[in-house]
Amino acid sequence: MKDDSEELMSKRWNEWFVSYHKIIHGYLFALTQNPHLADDITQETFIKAWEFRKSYEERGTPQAFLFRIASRSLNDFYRKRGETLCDEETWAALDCSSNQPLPEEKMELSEEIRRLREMMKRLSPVQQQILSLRYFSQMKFAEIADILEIPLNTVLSHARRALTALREKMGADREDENRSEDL
Amino acid sequence: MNHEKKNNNVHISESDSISASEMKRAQKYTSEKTLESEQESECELEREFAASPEWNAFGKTLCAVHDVIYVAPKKSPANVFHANDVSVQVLPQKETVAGGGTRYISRARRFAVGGSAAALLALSVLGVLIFVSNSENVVTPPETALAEEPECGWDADDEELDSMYQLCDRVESDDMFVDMEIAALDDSFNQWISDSDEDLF
Repeated sequence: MKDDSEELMSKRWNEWFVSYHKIIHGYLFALTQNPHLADDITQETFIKAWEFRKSYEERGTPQAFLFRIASRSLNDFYRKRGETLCDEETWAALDCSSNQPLPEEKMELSEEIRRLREMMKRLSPVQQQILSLRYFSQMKFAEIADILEIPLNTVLSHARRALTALREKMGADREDENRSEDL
Repeated sequence: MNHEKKNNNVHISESDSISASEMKRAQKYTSEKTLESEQESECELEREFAASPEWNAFGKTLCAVHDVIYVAPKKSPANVFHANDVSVQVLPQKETVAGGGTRYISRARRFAVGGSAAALLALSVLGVLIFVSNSENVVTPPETALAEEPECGWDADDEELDSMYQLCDRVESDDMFVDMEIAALDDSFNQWISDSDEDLF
């Protein structure tokens, strides 16, 4: 009987791995800007998910369960290292992408990276966390508040400010483009 | 008098209980209102996000960068993970550091360690190949060449050998001075060379 439940859990875990690996990785990558670190913490997340499998039943959807673990693992990592999210060094490391795309693709990619970096610069770490979680998990703000263990109102005000920051940034970009066209 | 006092107390406690229940009701009302307004502003923000081109652009950029760097795990999850051997197969790649705690082993370091091991292996293989190649040159020349090789040797006669043995014995028994030993050996060697030359050529 016990073996059956273990087997069932193992099967369920494998399904989670297939379904959520990419989005958990994406969330962690958006916050660390370091693909290798994102790999490691994603791996850590799935190991912890197995270790805490018994507490899963009480905690709703597997997605929320996994994102909560990922978020805590990331915070633990930074607490231990005494670092903040998204530093310049990791951004610079990202520029030298190890995947070595073709020159045209590389140019496009470096342009995307530059754009993402500038967007992220405008956001506080909590705002980065909320927006990344929102994008990769597609969850509602109430669920995000639950995962990050902060009140809904706080999440809403951070999200609103983040959106305003993005608008300002893109508005400024548009103005720059117009100015350069005029010249 | 006592009776009046008692009544007063009853009156006070009743009014207390009314105000407490009113307070509870008011609190409930407030929390309901707060929840309602929170839900309302959540819905409003959801709509705002859905209609926002800035949010879409942010998502697009994030997705584009992630798609390039993301490498899906090569092994199928069933191979990577199994309930019974979790500790063997998918332990976190961390190492213990001097101050206690743990530290992640970076991909670069893992690559460096793997690379060093591969380089070491390659060098070992190269060394073995060179050794085998040299050994082949020295140890196994072609059989035809061996057969054609001129015989080269010096067959010392018994007298020559006896004098060499005597000299060695004397040197070993230490009844000659060092300089004389050297001179004797030198003479003996020169003699041997000249004899050998005569015999050979």
